[in-house]
Amino acid sequence: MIQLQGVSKHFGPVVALNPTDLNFEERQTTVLIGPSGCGKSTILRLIIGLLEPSTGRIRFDGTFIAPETILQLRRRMGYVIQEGGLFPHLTARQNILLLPTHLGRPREEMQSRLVELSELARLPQDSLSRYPMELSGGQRQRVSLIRALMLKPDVLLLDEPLAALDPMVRASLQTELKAVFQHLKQTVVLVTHGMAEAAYLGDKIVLLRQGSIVQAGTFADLRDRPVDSFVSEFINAQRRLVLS
Amino acid sequence: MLASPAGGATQRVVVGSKKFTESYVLGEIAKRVLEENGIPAAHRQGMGGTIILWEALTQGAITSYPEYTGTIREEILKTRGPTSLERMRQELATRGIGVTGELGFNNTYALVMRRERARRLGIVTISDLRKHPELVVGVTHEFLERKDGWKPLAERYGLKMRDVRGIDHALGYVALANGTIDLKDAYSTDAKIAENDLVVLEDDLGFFPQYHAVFLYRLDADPRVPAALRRMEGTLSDARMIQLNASAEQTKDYSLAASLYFRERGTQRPASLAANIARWTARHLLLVGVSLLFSIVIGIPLGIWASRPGFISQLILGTTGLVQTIPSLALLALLVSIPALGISPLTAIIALVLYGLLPIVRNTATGIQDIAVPLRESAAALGLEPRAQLFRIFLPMASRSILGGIKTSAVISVGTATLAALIGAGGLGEPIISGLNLNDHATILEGAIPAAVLAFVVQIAFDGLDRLLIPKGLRLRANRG
Ligand SMILES: Nc1ncnc2c1ncn2[C@@H]1O[C@H](COP(=O)(O)OP(=O)(O)O)[C@@H](O)[C@H]1O
Ligand SMILES: [Mg+2]
Repeated sequence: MIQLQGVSKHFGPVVALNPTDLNFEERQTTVLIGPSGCGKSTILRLIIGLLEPSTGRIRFDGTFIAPETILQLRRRMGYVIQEGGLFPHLTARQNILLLPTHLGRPREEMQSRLVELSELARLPQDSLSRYPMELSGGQRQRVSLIRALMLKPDVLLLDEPLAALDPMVRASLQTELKAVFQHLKQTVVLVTHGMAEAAYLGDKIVLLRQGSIVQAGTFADLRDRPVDSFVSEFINAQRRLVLS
Repeated sequence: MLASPAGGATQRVVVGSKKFTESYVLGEIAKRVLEENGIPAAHRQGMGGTIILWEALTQGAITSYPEYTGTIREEILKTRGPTSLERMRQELATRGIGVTGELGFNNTYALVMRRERARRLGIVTISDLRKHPELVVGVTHEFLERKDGWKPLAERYGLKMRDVRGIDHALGYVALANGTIDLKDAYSTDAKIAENDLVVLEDDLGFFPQYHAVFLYRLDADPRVPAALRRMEGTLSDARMIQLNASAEQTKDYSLAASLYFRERGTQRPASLAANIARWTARHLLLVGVSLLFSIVIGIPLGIWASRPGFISQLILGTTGLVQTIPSLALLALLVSIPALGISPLTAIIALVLYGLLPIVRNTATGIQDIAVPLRESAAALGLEPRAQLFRIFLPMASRSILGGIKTSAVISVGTATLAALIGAGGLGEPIISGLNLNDHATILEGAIPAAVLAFVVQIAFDGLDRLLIPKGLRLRANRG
């Protein structure tokens, strides 16, 4: 679905991502994980074209990402960030329908899609007429998720979507995310810093450190066959946190 | 043969006047004389000083205005030494301007002091001032700069006053009365001289040129115009002019004073105060409204442009900021000196537009810049093209800031528009400026109070507009949870 070919990114002297090759498979949830500042968000932002690679190139379903192609490609991606990125002057419904309306998609079709997705994401109907300021953090992330899924994107890019939520809300949203991904057979790239979340949601886990991939594989691969001590330490550190 | 094709023959006859009582009265008399001779005429009162009136005349904004021979010689033709009226007439004709014969009185400049103070110091002539360099001099800005004004006078008489200030003519009399200043310039036919018990210091060296009143007119005007104006030649003695000036200042009614000239009572009832205020306010609102509209139409795109980082942004914000540091009077004078603009309501509107630009440009730019980065990125990541991002996301989100800028601009404009009256564009500045000239507080308030009320109403109206135009989602407080 998405291929990074020798992609790197630096900001002046700061290297955010070393030259990297990475494939994101269709219908899989790939989790990017690693310590803060290791380049996880940079990868997502390169894919959706908020950043341009310093070297290398990115292929999206056969098309190279470039200034001329990015607008059309973005409409085939969904993007959810930590604080939701909802526009405060629009209600939840207006936020969700902004792009479909702008592109002139059929109203009825969008309406039924909206109903279907709000049930899937367990968003109460009456929240749709509220403004972002009037929603709880969990509801905001649900709205943001629905907005990202409206046009049946080829890929869903999630940048720590649950990081700012209470543990209870986060747990229930994790369950719902998994249900949504499976139901829609969605291709997902998820950034998180929680190993438990990665293990629960990810088909494939990519562990990064200082702009480079350390190991990529299933959770079992990383747990049972760590390539170096950093991998096992990273997994164990998170376990200790869970147990303490 | 002299009439140019674009000449005034077909245009409405407009008489202008300078910004002091005598000129108002003469302008009003000329208007009446013209009308009595079957020429419909308008009077644009108190347009400004010599330069403004002369430019208005040569540019064709007015047909005629009262002037003084001394001023024509010193300020307009800029010749030195005595020149006959006949020589001036020839010189003026080369510029397309004609001049009537003398109206009679000689309104020369004079230096005046309070009678009692002059007596105590033993001052009778201007030469006597040499012994009193401690006296405070307060003269009009025009007199300060004139070629027959303060500096050459002081040089000629060897005066060494340490404290010389520029002060408005009417306010100068107040300053003289309360002792803030000791000495000021006056016109010899000024009614205030007798009214305030002042003495005219004798011009013992014969410094001041003769200031005989005449009318200047455009040579391409309807030939009946000079014919009618000439009927006023020799009809106004010094005493008569002082009397008319005094009447104008006491009644605050120039047409009444002009009527005295015709030895008849004013037949027209003056318009009621309410009707006047309504007329001034409507005119004021028109000036503010039109200029605000242009400020918005120009300011918002400039603000959007300035919201992007870089050199252009600095340039736009810097330039609009610079315009605002120019004093409003100076900006008006600057614009008036552009031949294509001159004395016209358009000039006033351009000045108001320029003044109103900065708050709108700045608030539009900062309103957009203040949108949080994650939201800007979300707008792009969603797949909206830049135009849609601007109209659907950035501008609505910046609406509070932009409206705030428009409100500031409107309130500033209501205040600044009072200056429009200086160049004859009307509005609530009209009574304020005549009131200042006459030193009449009641007349000033007739303009100042409605202007203040208007600013307040504009403020309230915009607060209401906030509720209408700012999206509800932006007016909510954060909800926890
Ligand atoms: N716009 C930027 N300018 C400079 N440095 C940046 C910028 N964006 C990210 N970085 C740096 O790049 C590195 C990777 O950032 P990021 O991908 O956001 O990390 P994370 O894995 O926590 O999401 C960090 O060191 C960060 O400071
Ligand atoms: Mg990040």
